[in-house]
Amino acid sequence: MREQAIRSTFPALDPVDFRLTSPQTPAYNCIAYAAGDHRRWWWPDPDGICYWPPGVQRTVRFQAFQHAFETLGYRLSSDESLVTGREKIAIFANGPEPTHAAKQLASGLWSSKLGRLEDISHNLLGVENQEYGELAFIMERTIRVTL
Amino acid sequence: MGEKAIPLIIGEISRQPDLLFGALSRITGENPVSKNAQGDVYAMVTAWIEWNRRRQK
Repeated sequence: MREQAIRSTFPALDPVDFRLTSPQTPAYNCIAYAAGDHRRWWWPDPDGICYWPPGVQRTVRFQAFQHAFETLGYRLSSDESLVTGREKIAIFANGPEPTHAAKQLASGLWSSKLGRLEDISHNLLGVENQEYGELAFIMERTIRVTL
Repeated sequence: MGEKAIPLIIGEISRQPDLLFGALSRITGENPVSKNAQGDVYAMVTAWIEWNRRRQK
């Protein structure tokens, strides 16, 4: 039932790649998830309700999102292909306003947290729709190994 | 609605945590959430519930 509802919200989802990969939780959002934080909401809201990296402008614009991920070591990337030793995130936008982030899995598929709902795996452009808009840019960094 | 909405909003975020904290701040003119708790939905809910308890005493 949930899968069906998500598929109808995101008609570009490839049915082969699409999977629900977590239960619903309000604990974190898509930006936090792409940043590796499963404990907080990341968003540059002017009221300071959500977490946003210190020193990064609180505006819903590309530059603010780029800077936020730069604080984690990501840099702009020219492609979305799977590269050994690199991890990538994708930012989606509706016009000039970023709306969503996804991260690449080791399989080459992508993974997203859908608002306060579930995590899913998907084809990169599968989350493009009227609300999330289109893929805006990709960022990448060297995979960090924690011992 | 203003003041009357406060217990309703706090009741709602207790049952189903959501980002209604901005509305609470604007209505009450207060923000009991510490900087460390920014974005932590459960910590923010707790802060507002405690704030409401103190207010009702």
